[in-house]
Amino acid sequence: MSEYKAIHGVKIRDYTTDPDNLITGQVWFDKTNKVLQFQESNAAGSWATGGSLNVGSRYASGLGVQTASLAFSGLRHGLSGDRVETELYNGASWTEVNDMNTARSTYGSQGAGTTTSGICVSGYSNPADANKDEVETWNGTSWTEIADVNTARRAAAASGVVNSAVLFFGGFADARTNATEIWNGTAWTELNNLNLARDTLSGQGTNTAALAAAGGVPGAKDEVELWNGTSWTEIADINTARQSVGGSGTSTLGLVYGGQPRGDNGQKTEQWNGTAWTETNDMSIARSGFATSTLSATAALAAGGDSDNNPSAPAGTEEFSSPAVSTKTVDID
Amino acid sequence: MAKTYQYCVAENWGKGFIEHGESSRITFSNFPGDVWQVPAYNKHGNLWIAKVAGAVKTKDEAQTIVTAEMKKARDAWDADNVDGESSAEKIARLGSKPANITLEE
Repeated sequence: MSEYKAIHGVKIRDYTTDPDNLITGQVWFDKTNKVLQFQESNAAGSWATGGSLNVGSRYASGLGVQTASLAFSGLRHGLSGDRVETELYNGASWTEVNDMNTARSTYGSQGAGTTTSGICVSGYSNPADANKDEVETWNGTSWTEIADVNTARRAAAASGVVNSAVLFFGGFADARTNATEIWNGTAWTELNNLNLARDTLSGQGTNTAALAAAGGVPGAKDEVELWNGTSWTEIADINTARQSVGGSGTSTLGLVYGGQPRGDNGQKTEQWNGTAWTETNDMSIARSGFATSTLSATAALAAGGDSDNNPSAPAGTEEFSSPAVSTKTVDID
Repeated sequence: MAKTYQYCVAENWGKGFIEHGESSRITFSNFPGDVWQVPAYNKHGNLWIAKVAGAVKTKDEAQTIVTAEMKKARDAWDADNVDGESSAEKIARLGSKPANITLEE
């Protein structure tokens, strides 16, 4: 112990249980198990191909987690053919489940919740050039239409972990909008607007703590705003401005990926730790306008979307995994 | 001139086709006709091509495949018409006519 203090200038503390608020590199003595413990650094996350969608799509939305997610809405080909199809992913393969009631393309991240309590908010009808105000909830088996949003729009974002508590913000109505609405399970209510009106942004978090990241005005933006349940506050920008971007996680542990930095599709991935954005490994394939799992920043899913290099293959998916910070036991024998 | 990329043809079978360790070591690009581009003179690129049983192509061979696929896409775009539809309406319905893709050496 004295040698450690001589080298590092601090003593090693004894704990009967793991200390609270561990920091990377922290060392302590576990009195209960009589072992020295070390908090490992967080290895970088990376992407790998996942199971391919049954029907390739672009401009769709998704929800859930990497091993239990839905992809719905979107376009089959070109800019025509709004989809009603819904596909369910189990972490290995996609299965078609019951269709939506209203065909639509969302052009944004307009899904939220889980595979047993999900929601798809608003969207767009091609090629009629009309936004749709219809909202549907998913109960694990089928979609049910509920109360319409106040402002129909596409290319917006939604956040929420259940389909009875959802925030819906940004997008394109008659023009790019900063409108924010909240769903309490009964009605949609307008709340304080985003500071920056934008579309094709990402949304992650809950209806009381959410992030609105990136988006288009129409040029790609790097602005990020934090929702605290009442209002939006601008926080640290992402490193690479982009639109038609994917997002997953929470307001304190987030991920943004893919999208269009300058009109061409990108692969950049950035992680949010509640304070700053850090670049991690790129996606395997540059893409934008894809469906995402919404709830986790350490195990995310990107499904379908546009790829400049291969416009004919929007069925491919990718899975992001970031090893959790872990505690190692140090052998001191 | 030294090559920057190498090409192969391999069908993406989904999970396991590109694994986490591979995507963090090399950059992939995917083109029509199941054409894949990975770095040339790269051990991890070579190992990945072997793993997926990729049919190695020269850049010119890969370009021929991609060009043929894009011609098919353009022919399909030309043939997809609606009576009375204007050019602008067709683009709104289908998107722009697919353009050529040029592979890099």
